[in-house]
Amino acid sequence: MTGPKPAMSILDPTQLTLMSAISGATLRNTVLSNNIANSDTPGFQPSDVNFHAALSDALEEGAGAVEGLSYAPEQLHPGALRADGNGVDGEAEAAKLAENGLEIEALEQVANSRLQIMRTAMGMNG
Amino acid sequence: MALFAALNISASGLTAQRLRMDVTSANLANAQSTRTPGGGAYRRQDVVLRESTGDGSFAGSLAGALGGGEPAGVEAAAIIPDTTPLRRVYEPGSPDADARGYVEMPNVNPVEEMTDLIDASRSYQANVTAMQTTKQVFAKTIELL
Repeated sequence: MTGPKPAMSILDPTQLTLMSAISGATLRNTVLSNNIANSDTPGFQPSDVNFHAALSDALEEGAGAVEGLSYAPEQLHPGALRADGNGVDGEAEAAKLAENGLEIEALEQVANSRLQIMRTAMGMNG
Repeated sequence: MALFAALNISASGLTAQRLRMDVTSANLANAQSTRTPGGGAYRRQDVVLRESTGDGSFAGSLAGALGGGEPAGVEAAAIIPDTTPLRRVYEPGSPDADARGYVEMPNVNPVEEMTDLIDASRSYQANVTAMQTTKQVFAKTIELL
């Protein structure tokens, strides 16, 4: 095989992808919390983080792209839901936040199980 | 991004909603106050909220102004007096009555204040729920270590 070899990490691509997804979902948690905190701010339009799409694009590029991936919030423009120009739908944001929280927990569960396997392989579990 | 950004954001929401409750309570308490330090009857106060732009540092403010900053929560921009006309009540016996026997009463509508109070307390609860979700997730993250 020719060409530069990617830097070796002790973590395999799946683990790196899980870690990247956790960081994206954590940013999304922050952004959704911000939407809820600003549910009474005149003229405020909510934002969201589409980390699923960014991650799936990076995975198509190759495992190397996942490592350098950074996520950014993007503003949504649902228009004004209230007379003061605020666009936050409190129920929808709360639902998204709960769903995202469960997703982070699921990702962490998987990441944790895989780390346990590595620990066992390294003889760190007795 | 600070590790506990989401918690700080929800806390800023709690502070803002509690300020709204404080001001609404003051409006209700002063629904009959015909004298104020500034003279005249009490005028109802309203809290105006705005999105925070960063932590007050130059970098944070610049990023916020450019629209690319990390979300930083909410803050109170101002507490403004309601300029709708005061209520005039005919009460010739009152010491605050004018020459024709009318007293200016505060422009506070208790029904409006009660709905504001409910609105603020529900928003407060929404921020508490967001905080709990974040806390639960962080507790799981710590288990990874």
